Amino acid sequence: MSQPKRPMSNHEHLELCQFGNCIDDLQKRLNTRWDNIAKAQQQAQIKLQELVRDLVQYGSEDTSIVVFGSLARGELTQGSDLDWTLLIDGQAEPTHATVAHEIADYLEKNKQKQPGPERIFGSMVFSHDIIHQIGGEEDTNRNITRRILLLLESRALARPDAYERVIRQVLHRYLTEDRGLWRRDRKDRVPRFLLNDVVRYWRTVAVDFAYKRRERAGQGMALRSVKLGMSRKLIFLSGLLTCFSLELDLRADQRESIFSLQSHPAALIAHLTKFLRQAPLQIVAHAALEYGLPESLSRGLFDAYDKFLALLNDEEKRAHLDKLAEEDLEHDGIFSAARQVRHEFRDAIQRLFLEGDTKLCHLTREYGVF
Amino acid sequence: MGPIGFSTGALAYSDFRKGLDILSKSSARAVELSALRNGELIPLLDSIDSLNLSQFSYVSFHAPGQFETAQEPGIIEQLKRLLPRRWPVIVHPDAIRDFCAWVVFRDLLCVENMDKRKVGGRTAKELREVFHRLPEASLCFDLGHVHQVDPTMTEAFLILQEFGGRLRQLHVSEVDTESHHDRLSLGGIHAFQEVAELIPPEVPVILESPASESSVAAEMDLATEALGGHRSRALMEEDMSRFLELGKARAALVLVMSFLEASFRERVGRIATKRSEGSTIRTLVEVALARKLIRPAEGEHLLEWMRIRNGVVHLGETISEESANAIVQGVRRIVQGMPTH
Repeated sequence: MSQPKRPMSNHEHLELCQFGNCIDDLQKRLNTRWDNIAKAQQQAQIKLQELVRDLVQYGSEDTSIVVFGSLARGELTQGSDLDWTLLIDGQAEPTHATVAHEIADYLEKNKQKQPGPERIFGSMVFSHDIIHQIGGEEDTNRNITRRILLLLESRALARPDAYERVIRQVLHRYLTEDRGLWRRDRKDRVPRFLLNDVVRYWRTVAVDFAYKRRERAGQGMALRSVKLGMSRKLIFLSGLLTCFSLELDLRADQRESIFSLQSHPAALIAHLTKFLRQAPLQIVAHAALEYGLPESLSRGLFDAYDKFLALLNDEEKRAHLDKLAEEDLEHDGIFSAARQVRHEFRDAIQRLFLEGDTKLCHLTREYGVF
Repeated sequence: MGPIGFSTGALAYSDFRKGLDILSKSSARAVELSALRNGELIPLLDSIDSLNLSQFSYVSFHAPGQFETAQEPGIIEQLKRLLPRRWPVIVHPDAIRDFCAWVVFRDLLCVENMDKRKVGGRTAKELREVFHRLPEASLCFDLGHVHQVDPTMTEAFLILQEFGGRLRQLHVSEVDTESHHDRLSLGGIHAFQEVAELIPPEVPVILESPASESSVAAEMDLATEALGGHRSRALMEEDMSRFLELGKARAALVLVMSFLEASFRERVGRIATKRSEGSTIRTLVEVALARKLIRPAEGEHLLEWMRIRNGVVHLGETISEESANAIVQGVRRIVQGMPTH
């Protein structure tokens, strides 16, 4: 009887990009400190540990408790709300509702600010729609939000089995159903099905900003406006960078190896999953470190974000912005300062993605605009 | 594909003699003697000398899957009786307490990847910890388990990428949401086909589907379909002829459709412009028709033959030797007539 030989895989030598703590590395390179980012990261870490400790018993091989928002981004500040779902990937069971209620009760007792009124979070979510309803009539605002945030801004608190399965299945769909991605004559390897959904989500958020302003008669608009231009936009950036990472982070021989193996997109799923496991700000820091950005640009971008987190962590200013009437926006000092931070962030992003002769700028112009 | 056969446990639970009796009436060339429950171990070990295993070119032994810590040394002592036979000993990594005690089996110790209900040994990352403690151990790659853990088969790919060099045997079956082994389904077959080419062709295949005597052959055919696509087409053609000579119409039909798929994947898959065009044999035929690689009448024949094959495999329909022969010759003609560039 012969002994089996080692399978000849095209990926044996493939070492996909590795992430460390990119924000720390960038601080060292620029010889600076972003104290508010560090504080928000630390607060998020403490809260995550607390939640894992108290909610671990609710996870199973088919259910994951998933958190979104600032906690998942690792940017927890004063007054952050806690967006969560009980993600179910398996047989539906009546006890799932009980578990969801118990999680909600626990969070209420612990005075966690509950999810918003859109009912996107704070209950059970089944994997079926997230995986199968991409595009088409059934892909509602709620569904696309859940799906894209699951990819770009989420963390599983305990038993990540269901969570990781769903993410892989969503990526499997985006990659295997992308006609152009696998063309042999393709100039750039950009997963456009995924990219278009990321772009669509960002535009949906922007449109919904106007919708919420109308629905809520301008209430809370100031704070939402700042968040739209900062943390919401950050998610979009990290999504773009994830999509472009096939071109920017993989060597030509790695791409060749991946795309010459027609039988399975596993290497791509593994690469993208590695990216998506990082907090959005870490992905941007990774870009700053690895894509040769000018130091002034990296500094401007992270300085602005640090100021944004300082603002959110200031209870008084945050409460002020939350209650600020729409008609007072133009003459309000705190809002003007916040808007200035937002503009600094915007300007840095535009330079990063659009104003230059870098591969990132080329990819953004070629795939991110038209 | 390497020798294929069944686990005696899948066929007859603890009644290994009954399992072997069922297999003696089949073309199985591989067997796994199963002592999955602790109480089955000594009776099976005591009986080995009296068992007729001459039809098998590959034999492995499944150690108990669950036991108390205090029982572990005794189980290991009993299993050592197998060492002179050089049979692989399949173990569940979550059952092992004292890793050092198992090192004595060296590469004959065959660690199985686990289903989603277990807390370890399921993924490449978790297996890394196991193989770190058992550096010489080999891998029993359970396709049903890995498919249940990750339906995209990404984890299967990662495990094969990292531990393919340790691969000694396959476990094949469907595994349901409650982690029970089940008969192979079309979904499972498609999933297994996605990684089949990463599995060396000589690796033995042990089915764990709960098959009855009447369904053993059908289940082995399905496993061949799932994993046989990467066999050389020349070898397939030889086997097709052999099956026809032996009057095995059903086996010839199943194999010729695998041959068709392998041929189309090689010739049509190369020019398919999107992955979904090459995802099933039906879509490959559609691409071949669209690109005028085959004539419309040939396409109609192929679709009809696929329908017949599905009826035979999935609905238990029968096929005559004459019809199987006609389909084999027809497929050969169409494949030979296709342009090679």
